[in-house]
Amino acid sequence: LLIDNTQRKYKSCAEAYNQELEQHWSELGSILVFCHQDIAFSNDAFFLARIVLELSSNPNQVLGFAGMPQGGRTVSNLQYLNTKQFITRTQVAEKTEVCSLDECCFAMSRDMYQQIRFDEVVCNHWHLYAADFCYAARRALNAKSYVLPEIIYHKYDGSSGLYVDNDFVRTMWKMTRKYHRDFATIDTSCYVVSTQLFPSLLKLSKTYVKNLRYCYGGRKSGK
Amino acid sequence: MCNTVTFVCVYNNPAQLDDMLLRSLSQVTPPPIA
Repeated sequence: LLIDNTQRKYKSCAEAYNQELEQHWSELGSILVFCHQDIAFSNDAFFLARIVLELSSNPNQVLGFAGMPQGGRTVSNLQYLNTKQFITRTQVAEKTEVCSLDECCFAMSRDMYQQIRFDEVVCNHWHLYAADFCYAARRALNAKSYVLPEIIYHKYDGSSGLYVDNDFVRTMWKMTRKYHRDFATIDTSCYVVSTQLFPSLLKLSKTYVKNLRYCYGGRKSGK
Repeated sequence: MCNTVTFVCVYNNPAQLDDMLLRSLSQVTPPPIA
């Protein structure tokens, strides 16, 4: 299901996914794999076989290829397509439980999607919709999220996606408010923040200001 | 039991859309599950 957003029909990825999946509901498979446009797969299909096997044995889980374990550092076996270098410092040798998954590529059963859906209010831009889904599924269905040890590829080298912008900050703020009664922290692939009001406000405000200084003063954006 | 897989991908820049992704999506087929 390739969704053409070249005319900017959709304001957010959550909106695009929800609307398009609803329109094509009868055509969908029992397993949904969401991926960015710059993700590439090898032709061996091992990653897909693993997804099918895992979700067949336990549909109450969310699977992906990059994520943040509790109190850890981001893990994945993602590689840059051209250089075959790993993108994250830490790789995984086995299926690894994480707090949330990166949006680059993730999968779930269609039934789970139907129960949770993407949050278009919290994720009203292009960030964190998978991370939010992981937390929502954990809260509503006690569903865990896992990074699989299969290798997939990112098309581009460089720092794309490594920095957070202020749309990201605003979405993260809304997530802290959404989950503050359920989780102590929100752990995403590139940002970890407390869900307590003042610590989250302080940290996110600092990032927000750093980003403004970057925009207007040419300084590096931060986390 | 037969599981079918649907890939979902939003693109806003066709130039960024990876040829390998499209090839991969057209080539991969999920294995049968006993």
